[in-house]
Parts: sequence; C-alpha cells; structure tokens
Amino acid sequence: MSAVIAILLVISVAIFAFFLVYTVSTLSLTAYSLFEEVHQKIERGDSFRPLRRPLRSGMSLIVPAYNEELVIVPAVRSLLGVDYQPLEVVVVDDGSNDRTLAVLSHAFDLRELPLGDRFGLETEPLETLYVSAVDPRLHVARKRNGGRSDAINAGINLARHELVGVVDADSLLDRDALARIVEVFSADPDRVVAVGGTIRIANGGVIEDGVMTRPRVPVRGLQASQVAEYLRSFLAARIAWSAMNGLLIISGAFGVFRRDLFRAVGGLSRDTLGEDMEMVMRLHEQLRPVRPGVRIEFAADATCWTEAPPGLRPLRVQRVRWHTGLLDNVRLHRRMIGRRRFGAVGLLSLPYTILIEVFGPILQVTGYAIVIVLALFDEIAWQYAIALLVIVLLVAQLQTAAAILTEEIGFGRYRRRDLLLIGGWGLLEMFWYQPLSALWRMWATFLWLIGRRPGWGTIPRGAALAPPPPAEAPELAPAPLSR
Amino acid sequence: MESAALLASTVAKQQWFWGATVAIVALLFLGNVALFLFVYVRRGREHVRARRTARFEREWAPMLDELMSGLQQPDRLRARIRRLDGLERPIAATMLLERLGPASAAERAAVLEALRETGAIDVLVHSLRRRAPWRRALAARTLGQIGANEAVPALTERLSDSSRYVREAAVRALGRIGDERALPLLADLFLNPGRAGAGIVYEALLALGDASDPVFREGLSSAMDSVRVTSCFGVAAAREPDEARLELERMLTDPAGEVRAAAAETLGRVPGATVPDGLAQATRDPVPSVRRAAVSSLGSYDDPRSLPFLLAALDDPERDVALRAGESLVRLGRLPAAGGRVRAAIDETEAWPLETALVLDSLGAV
Repeated sequence: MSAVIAILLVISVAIFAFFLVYTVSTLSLTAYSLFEEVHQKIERGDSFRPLRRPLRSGMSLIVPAYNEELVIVPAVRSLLGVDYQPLEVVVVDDGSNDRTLAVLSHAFDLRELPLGDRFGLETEPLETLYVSAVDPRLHVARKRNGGRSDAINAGINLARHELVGVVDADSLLDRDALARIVEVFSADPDRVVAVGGTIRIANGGVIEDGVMTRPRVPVRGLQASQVAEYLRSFLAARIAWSAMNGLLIISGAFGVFRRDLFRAVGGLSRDTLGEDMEMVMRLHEQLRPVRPGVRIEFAADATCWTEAPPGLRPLRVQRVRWHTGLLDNVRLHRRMIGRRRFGAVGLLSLPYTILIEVFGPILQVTGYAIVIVLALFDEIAWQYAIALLVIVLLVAQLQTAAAILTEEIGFGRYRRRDLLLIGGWGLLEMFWYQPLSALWRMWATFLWLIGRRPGWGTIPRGAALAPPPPAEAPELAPAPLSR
Repeated sequence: MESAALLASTVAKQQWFWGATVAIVALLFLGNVALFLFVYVRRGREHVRARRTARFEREWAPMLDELMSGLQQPDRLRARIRRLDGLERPIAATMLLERLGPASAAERAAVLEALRETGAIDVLVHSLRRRAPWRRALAARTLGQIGANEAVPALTERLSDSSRYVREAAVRALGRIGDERALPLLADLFLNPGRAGAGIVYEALLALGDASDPVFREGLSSAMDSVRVTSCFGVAAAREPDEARLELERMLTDPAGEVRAAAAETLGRVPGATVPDGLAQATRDPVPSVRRAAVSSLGSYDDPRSLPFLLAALDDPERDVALRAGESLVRLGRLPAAGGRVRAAIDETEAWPLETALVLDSLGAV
C-alpha cells in the first residue's frame, strides 16, 4: 500500500510541477504575443500599403482537393478574387471519387493542356491537366490518389511563380491576405523563407462573393470552443514564437513558401500525418546550420477562414491525426532538441512542445484519473481539489481573455456578443472540451506507441462555406484545342 | 491512499497554504476581470469614437469640398484646423488622403496652396514629432500625398526615426514629393538596406526620375546581392533603354545567380532590335532562375537570332523554363521582323511546351 501511495504522490507532484511550468510558459507566451500585437498597433495603426509591382514576387496557390465538390468552386472563386498579382491557382484533384472535377469544369470551363514531363518532385502520376477558359490563371490537375502531401508536391511541380502558397480546399482567404503575407517576405527578402497566416473558423459567418464579410461565433459549444482554441493558438502563441524565430508549424490551411527551397528540401513528406509541421521543422533543421539568419514567420494579419469539424466524431479524427503528426515530427527532428545552432527552435519551442504537447495530455488524463479514483474511494481532499480547480480554471480563462484582447486590439473582427460566446464557452471548456481533447491525444499517443496509424478520415464539408451544388452537374467534357 | 489524502488535507489545513491560494486566486481573478474589462471598455470607447468620427466627417466633408474646389473662406478653415483635436486630426488627414487619391495634379496643387494658406502644413509638420508612431507616419503620408516640398527637411529627419513604419512612410512621402534634396539620404538607405524595405526605397528613388540614375548604377557594384538585384530593376526603369541594356548585359556575368536572373529579367523590359549575346547565352546558365528569366526576355526582342536558343530551351531540364520558352516563341511569332521564321518553326516543331503555349495563347494568356 505504501508503494501505491508513493507512486500516487510522485505522480501528483509531477502533475503539479507540470501545471506550474505550463502556467508560467503559456502565460509568458500569451503576454509576449499581446505585447507584440500592441506594439504593432502603436507602430502601424490601421494602415497597410502593399508594394506595387514589379518588385513583388509572383504567387502560385496550390489547392489540394479530395472529394471537395461542395466547397471547391466557392473556394477557388475566393482565391482568384484576392488582391494580388501576379497570381496563379493550381487545384490538384487527388483522385476524388465525387464530382470535384466536374463542378470545376462546369464553373470554370476547363480546357485540356498537354501534361508534359520534367516534374521535379516524385509523386503519384498525373492523369490530366486543364486550364480555365474563363480565367487562365486557374490550372486544374487530376492525379492518382496519393494523399494530401503528394497532391501538394504535384502542385509544386506545376507551379510557375517564385512563391508557393498552400491553401486548403475548404478555406477562404481575405482579399488582402496574400499581399500582407508577401509584405513579410519583402521586408526581409534575404532571410525569410516561409510565412504562415492566421487560421480562423468560418462556421457561422456570413460569406459574400467568396469573402468573409461578417465573422460570427457559432452558438454551439463544440464550434465556439474551437474558435477560442484557434484564437489562443494563433494570437496568444504563434505571434510570440514567430518573434523569437521559434515557429514549429505553419498551418497546412494557409502557408507560403519559397518555391526553390520547398523543392530543394524535397517537398512535403509523405511519411507523416503532420506534413505541414514536418516541412517547417525540416526547413529549420536543414537551413539554419548553413544560413543562421534564416527566418520562418507568422503574419497575424493575413487571414484564412476554414471550416471547423461540426461534430465530435470528425473532430476526434482530426485531433488524433494532428497529434500523431506531432509525435512523428518530434521523433523525426529530435536532433534539434537543446542544440544552440537551431536557435529558439532547439532551445525553446521544441522542448516546450515536448513538455506541453507530448507529455501534457498524458499528465492531464492521469490527473483526471487520480481525481476520479480518489473521489470513488471518498479519499479526495475537497478543499485542496477545489482550490486547484479554481486556479486551473482561472489560468485557462486568463489565456482566453488575453487572446480575446489581442484579437480586439489587433483586428476587432467579432461583435460584442461573439466575444461573450468565446469567453463563456472558454470558461466551460475545462469541464468537457479540454478533457475530451486530452483523451483523444492520449489515445493518439497510445496508437503511435503500438505503431498503428490513424487514417485521414472524412470531415463533412460545406457547413460553412457553400450551399450544395445543383443536383445535376454536367459531366466533364474537356475541350482539347487543336493547333 | 489514506496517507495521501491525509497529507493533502494536512497541507490544506496550513495557514500559509490558504493564504497563498487566496492570493493566487485573487490575482488570477483580477487579471481576468481586468482583461475582459479592458476589452469592453475599449469597445465602448470605440463606439463613442465612431459616433464622434461620423459627426466630424459630416462637418469636415463640406470643408474638404471647399478645399478641393477653391478656398472661399480661408479664415473659417484656418480657425477650424487650429481647433482640431487629437481624434479629429487623423480623421481629417485620412479623409484628405482619400480625396487626393484620384485627384489631378492641378487639384493637388490647388489643395496644397489652400492648405498652406490655412496653416495646415505647419500642423502636419508638427505632427511628424508626435509620440505615437502611427500618427507620425500618417502625417508623413499626408505631406507626401499633397506634395508639400517645404516639409522635405522635416521628412528627411524622419528617415532616422526609431520606428520602421515612420521611416518607410517618410521614404514614400519623399518619393511622392520628388524633391532632389532627399536624394542623398534615400541613396544611403538604398545602398545600405535594412532600415527600410528595399522595395519602398526603390519606388521612392524611381519617383525622383533621372536624378536616381547614378544611385542605381552605383548599386550595381554593391557588395550586397539584394542591392544589385534591385539596382538592375532601377537601371531598367530609370535609364535610356540602349544604355540600360549595356549595363544589364554586364550584370549577366555577376557571380550571384539571383543577380544574373534579375539582369536577364530586366533586359526583357528594355528590348531593342537585336538580342544581346549575353542574354542568349544566359539561356544555358547553370541556374534555372537565370535560364527562366532569359528565355522569357528573349520573347521581347524582335530578333530571329533568338529562335535557336528558344527552340533549344524547349528541351530544358526544368519544366518551367521549357514552358516559358514555348510562350516566348509564341510572342516572338507576333513580332514583325522575327515573326515569319518563328511561325514556320512553330509549325514544324512538336513539343508539349509549345502546345501548352498555343492553348494559353488562344485564351489570351500569353
């Protein structure tokens, strides 16, 4: 019995120590992000003036699409409508078995192009290539299914501009998002190699002509909690990591890279589920030792709107996949841990990620289990437990409040009612969303340890971005042009 | 188990434990309340500001109309400008900027004269020293937009402002005013980059016209690759095409690939009757971006000597180079001197990059 008590004590102390480290580190990150945003606001006010051509780099937007018939047309319209030139959009249909290609063909009058050869990155074979007669900046490629990374690599092979942006097919960009992100490249062209934008939840918002005109926070807890979670992740953490040049991830939904470097490091990995994070970590690992000043940045004011999983099941699938990807990447790039030559990545962000993101869920779930066991045996010290719960709750809420304040100062996108919803659901998260999330991540860790890989799963589309297409979409009839 | 609970409850009974707990909870609670309060107070303040802004805009709009169409009552406007408070000044400046955007040169000159008469220029120059960087930047933008050349000394001072955004706003303003007094400082910023965005300084120098030509030429021999790259664009834009071609062709032998690529690209912007030999040779450069730029530029020279180089580039190992070679051939086919031979060559050539270019051409995309 004494051994059990000793173990419980050790675990409890470990959990408490973890909580202390978590609190100090996350609140420090949050405060740093808030400070950076306030500083930006004082510096720039609301003014933004993009560079005129010709010094601006061209941009190829790659859109991997697999069974995206419900959202692909509004997404492509939105991308073609952004205020940026020169621009091309390359949609890669990754062997969809729905009408993705058909609806694109119907909407954009696709004409067949010769496939050609000389593709730099190895991918599953391309089957057909089209250009839009309505807007020749749009190219659509159809290829054998090979997964998201494979589709993006195929898109990179077809891209023709110096910068390549990766945007999910269920996402919309703000009109000025690309200009803002390119501004970061332009400010330091010799050192900046990749820039990520802010991802926000589109669910509940009003979209007009492919533009998010009135963002709203959904009333439903699951989606509102995701809004709060995204705000914390992007506005209360990434701003700080970017300022320290310790960014470990550029979200797959919206990131821009230098094409030459993207290709030089071999394109996206097909062996991990967290390919977006893997690319960023590989850029750090391969470039920093040879080019110490290299920077990977985050542009908080470049916004991409994406659909959040509307139900628990798709959310679980997404989170298990994300966590498996994280574990893959930490293992793959463990060489950087604690090494000064990798700067803030080796010394701060990677150790932080391992402690908070890898071990955090395990300790969190263990903590819940201990509380449940003690409660079952009526051995819980309620005063102690309640005091701890209140502190945990207030710390979490402080982070949410700081994220809301950063949002308010920097962007002010939401109504007062929406901020209340974010704050309210943020307060309740501790009792259902956070434990669920921790459980899923712990499950992902278990699967990863026994060597089982979760699939990509299917996330229902169209809830936020588009009404269903007309029932009868014509079959694709590409028109090859004779010479 | 019991001992663990005992330990916990023993700790919980300690005075220090509850003291510390209450202090932490109070601190966190107050932090939360303060942050939320700040958000909502800010919202409230923004609401009040929005109403005041709307009111001021209604009052200011007719004055701006008067300013744009010719000053009728300068005293009234002068008095109002003196009374502008901290909220009103930036709104007034922003509204003026919006009006001046589409205005003609004559309208701008009239507005500048009227603003001088009312003392607004002095107010704006004074605003260049305000504490908030965005206000200094806004004042600089406004002075630049109205072309107040008496503000040049004050604006050049702002080139060493502690805020990058103010420095960049001053650079843009000096470019808009186009006064050569700013040239030495802008040249220094251009040749020693880092204090302001290279593209912004480049645009300001271009706005100074011929005067910036020596700066770009000096930039071509800079030790920094990025300065040489930007200088290639500057030389192509600021110099006479014949002279620019000579300078740029020389840059095709630069040791840095990105400089050679910039030189090749900009040679396409100053085309002549004959293709520079260096540009044709650049289609065989080991760096793909140089070859890509070179084959694109060849399509701008109405010279049939480009033909063999472009046909060879259709087999370039880089897909993009081959595609651009196809597009250049299509463009060349439209030009009077080279067109006939090129079109004949196109008809005889079977190559997918060429087919792609023809499809794109039929859609108006080449």
